[in-house]
Amino acid sequence: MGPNVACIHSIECGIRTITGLTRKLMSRVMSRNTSESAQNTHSNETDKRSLTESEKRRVLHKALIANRVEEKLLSMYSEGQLAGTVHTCIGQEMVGACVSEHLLTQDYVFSNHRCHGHFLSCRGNIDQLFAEFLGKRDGVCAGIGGSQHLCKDGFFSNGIQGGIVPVATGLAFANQMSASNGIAVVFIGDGTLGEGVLYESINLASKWQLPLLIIVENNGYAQSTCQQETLAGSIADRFEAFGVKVHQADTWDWENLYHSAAYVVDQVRERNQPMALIVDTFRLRAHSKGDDDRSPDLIQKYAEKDPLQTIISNQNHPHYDLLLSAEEEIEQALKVAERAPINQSLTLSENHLDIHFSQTSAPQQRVIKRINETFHSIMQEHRQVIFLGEDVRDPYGGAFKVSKGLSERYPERVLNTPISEAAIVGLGNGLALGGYLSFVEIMFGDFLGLAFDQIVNHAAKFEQMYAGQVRVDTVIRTPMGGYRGYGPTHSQSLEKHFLGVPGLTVLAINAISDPACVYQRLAKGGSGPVLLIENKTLYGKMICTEFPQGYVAMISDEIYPSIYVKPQCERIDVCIVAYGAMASIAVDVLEALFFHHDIVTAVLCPTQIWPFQLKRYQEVIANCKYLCVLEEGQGFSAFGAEVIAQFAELNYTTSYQDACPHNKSAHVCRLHAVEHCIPAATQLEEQVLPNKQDLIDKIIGLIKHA
Amino acid sequence: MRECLIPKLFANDDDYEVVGLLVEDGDQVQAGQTVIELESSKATSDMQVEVGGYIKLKVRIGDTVRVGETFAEIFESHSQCISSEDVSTTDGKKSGVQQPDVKAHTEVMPQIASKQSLKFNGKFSFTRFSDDAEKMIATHGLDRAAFNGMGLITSAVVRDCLNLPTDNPVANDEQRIERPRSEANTLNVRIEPVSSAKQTEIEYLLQGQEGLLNSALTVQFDSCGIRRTLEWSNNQDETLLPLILYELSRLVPKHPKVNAYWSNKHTHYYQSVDIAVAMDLDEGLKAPVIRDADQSNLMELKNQLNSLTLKYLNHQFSPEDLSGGTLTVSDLSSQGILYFQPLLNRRQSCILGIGGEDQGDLYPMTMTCVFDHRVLSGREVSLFLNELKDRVLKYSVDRLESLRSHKALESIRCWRCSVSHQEYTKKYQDEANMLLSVKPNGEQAYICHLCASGY
Repeated sequence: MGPNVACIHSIECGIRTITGLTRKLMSRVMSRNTSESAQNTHSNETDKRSLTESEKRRVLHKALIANRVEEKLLSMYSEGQLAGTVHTCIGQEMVGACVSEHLLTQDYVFSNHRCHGHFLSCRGNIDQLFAEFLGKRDGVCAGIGGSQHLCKDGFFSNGIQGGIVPVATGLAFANQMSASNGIAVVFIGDGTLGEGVLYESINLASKWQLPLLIIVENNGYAQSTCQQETLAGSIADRFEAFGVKVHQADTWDWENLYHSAAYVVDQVRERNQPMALIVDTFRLRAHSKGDDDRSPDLIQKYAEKDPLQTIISNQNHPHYDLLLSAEEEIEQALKVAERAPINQSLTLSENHLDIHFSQTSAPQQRVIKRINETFHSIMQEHRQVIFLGEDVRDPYGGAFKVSKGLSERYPERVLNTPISEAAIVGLGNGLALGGYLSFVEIMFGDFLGLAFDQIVNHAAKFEQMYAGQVRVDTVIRTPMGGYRGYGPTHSQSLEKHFLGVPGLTVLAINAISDPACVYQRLAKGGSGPVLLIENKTLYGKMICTEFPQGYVAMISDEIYPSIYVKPQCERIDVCIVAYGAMASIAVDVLEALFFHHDIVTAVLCPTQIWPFQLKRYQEVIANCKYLCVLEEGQGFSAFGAEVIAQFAELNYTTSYQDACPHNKSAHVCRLHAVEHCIPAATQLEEQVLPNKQDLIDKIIGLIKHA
Repeated sequence: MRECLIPKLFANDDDYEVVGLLVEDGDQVQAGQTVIELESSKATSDMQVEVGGYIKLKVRIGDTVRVGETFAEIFESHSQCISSEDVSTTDGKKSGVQQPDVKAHTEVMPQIASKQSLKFNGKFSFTRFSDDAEKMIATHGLDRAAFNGMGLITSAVVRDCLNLPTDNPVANDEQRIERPRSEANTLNVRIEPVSSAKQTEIEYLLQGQEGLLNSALTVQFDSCGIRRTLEWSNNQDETLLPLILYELSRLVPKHPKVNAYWSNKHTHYYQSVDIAVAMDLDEGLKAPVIRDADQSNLMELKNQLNSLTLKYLNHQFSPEDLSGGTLTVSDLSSQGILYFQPLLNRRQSCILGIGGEDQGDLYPMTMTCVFDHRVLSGREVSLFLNELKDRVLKYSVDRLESLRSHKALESIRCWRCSVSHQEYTKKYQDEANMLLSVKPNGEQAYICHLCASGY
């Protein structure tokens, strides 16, 4: 396999010699070690030669295109032709124009809400950008992304401050792993310096020596807030603290910027290490359309020294012809965009296929052992699979030992990360864009909140908002839930916050069927972003191979199969819908309900809890008179609430009524955690989380009061 | 062996319902012979076989068949046809043992479900009883072995077998008190729990009213003539019930819809005449079933009624006794009720209520048929009722040829000992039984039981 940062780290620490490290990488590592101190003193060794006229014209042409397109967009907004918002880079155009001159096709570019200039300079599709604004089918993202969310051939932008930086880091990592000499460039503003995920990413990029170039467009204002109000310390110190070398430039001396860009791009590429380029600049227009409180005098001062404004305001300027040709080009592009058809409807994938169940059996093994063995075979079989997480390497092997022995066998693909949940999920997202499939372990599900943005606004969004141009096969695995006395922040079931996020799939393994098939399926790729819930209590459980006499386990033919524990008799009273560890509780009460309470109960245990369509299971549900949904987490607006809402709707469909002629309105109930944080003391925790007796009582109550 | 497949009959339909079987398994059929009738959403069609031979049908009435499905197999010899039995049940299509998936399971239609489940030919390899089921079995003195292979058995399953259905497995008295508690606080009422037997009866009858399309028709007639006929047969203390049951059971096959029920957009026809007779001898309403009533003669029916009455009084009903009625008869004619509308039972289309009032010579009686309008129409029921009335009235003395020939009906005497009917019945009371017999000279005449037994 290709070169790898973890290996480098090991060598540097002198722990062991890693086999498989390429000679090229070896020399790269060595040269960096020996010349490090010398490099730091070279604060500015850029080539100061003058640009040729053609180089100048090319850069200015790009910058003027960006300028004219944005001026056009502003006027279209003011005329009411466009909706939404536009963040212009007028005054900052030279950054994209200069940097893009030095990039190669294998390089990835990441931008932000102020992305038009970067996009136009790097990709140049004016008509597609206009079409995007106009909601046309031929738009960069078919009208779905709009102003802030663009994607084309390795160019990505997103409207979340700093959120794209770990993704860029991941792609830099992917480039390094695949031994391509591509780099990742990410543009951020000085306002983004307030975001924590940025520093998580810089730390990772520096520690792992990834080819990531961070360009800070320092325009002094975050929306309306002046930098002096919010920024402590210096910008350069921020990077240097992580060992990332910084280069400085500005847009007014744009030829110097050109050379600086050339230097940093080359350094990152050649030395395979991150760098930062801080470009002082000034935004001449409002943050968005009209929200500008800065003094006109201040703006005027910067306008006067702006290289493009100098051309625009002087018809006799030697480069004025570039302005005219840019305007002409833009008019043509706009015409093309206007002619394109409107994107009238979204392509939605709806899956209404009936589910079929067949009898099944599972191996007799502990869940943890099964998952661990499955990962061993996955890593062997699928070379593109990466296992990321905190403390996952041997000898520790993960907080719950899921990755035990993995790093011994696959040291280059099993990586210990810093405690940076957001960055490591973002890293997984970036790796996915680069063709790798990461299983990212979040040590406790409670920490998912730290990665929420990466899951919801990045992993889940990319495929849809980029109109299907990319797919993010990232699996975020996390041990979830309580019953272990870990207390309020290490025991929760937070999955409900991720249910209903379009583009995301939420799965939960259980101990009443073989979990291996879920991991095997995910390892094949093509699943998109997946949040995989592993309830902690499952790890130590034996996979249920023997069900109480009179109950048979049947497995569905879904991609992530559901289990239906079917009572063998003519009439079924209750169907419990439960996923994850709750399925075991449901199975455990079957005999008590039958023997002592005269109630025949079935259990439906879905593995995929989002997206979830109850109607696909209507054959199962229709057999029962009562429906009970059991979940470990909070009940409000959660899985159970959704199932019951869908059930109520299902009652009014003819297909369900046909399937269920004698029982059109079964009675329903939910059992979930009480509305309290989860106490650490065992006897208190028991009062909060559902248990077998609660379930029995709930079901008896349901039937009594029906 | 040749398979006969369902062809595509109509452009719009791929499913057809089997509405008629014109041959039986093992019958010899000719090429081109019509063997089954199918109904689509548009019309009914006859299905012919293409080759001759011995037929084995793969469908039953009420089955839904798809285009391309096999509806029959034709064998060259009768023996092949008969011996094919085992082979065809292992293909899983009709077998209840295999359950490859849930869909297949839910397709099992409750055709004559109550009766089938009663055969206790459970499809499972085990039997487990809930605690409540155990108790109920003990209470009713039932045989646990009767439930073999029925899988998980709750009290509801046992109730089903006893024909005391309930939808509420943990229903108990406590619950029924809970509901009206709030009412009790505001209203001047006293609250008493309804016994579980009564509650069961309520739930049972409620199901019969589910269709909300029940209707009733009544015929009235004077029963004095029939009663006199019965008297002469020395049945003074007897009601008309056995007679009506006898005629009813013979009439039913002519009117199959009264022996049917509606479910899920289909009419389900029972294949046997199993008449439930409502009884309430102060120990709760029960409806024991006379199986295959159309196969029993009048005397056998009488005996069966007697034995069911005894079982009622001795609490000896088995689950078989109490379940699987295909239609019900309720007789209040001896209670001084001239007319009433009985309540229709679940999974039946028809219940016959017999009323009567001893008000002098005429002794008027009524027969009221409450029927499910989803299965039957008013006209069908009026034809049925009138025909039943006519059949019953044929027993009236003035219509019985053999009796009319006697000059004075009261002057019946035993042709051997010449005891008068009046004296005879007075002397022997219950034992008295004047029988119609044939004298050595070929004449019909009555003979007393003493003479008949030859001293």
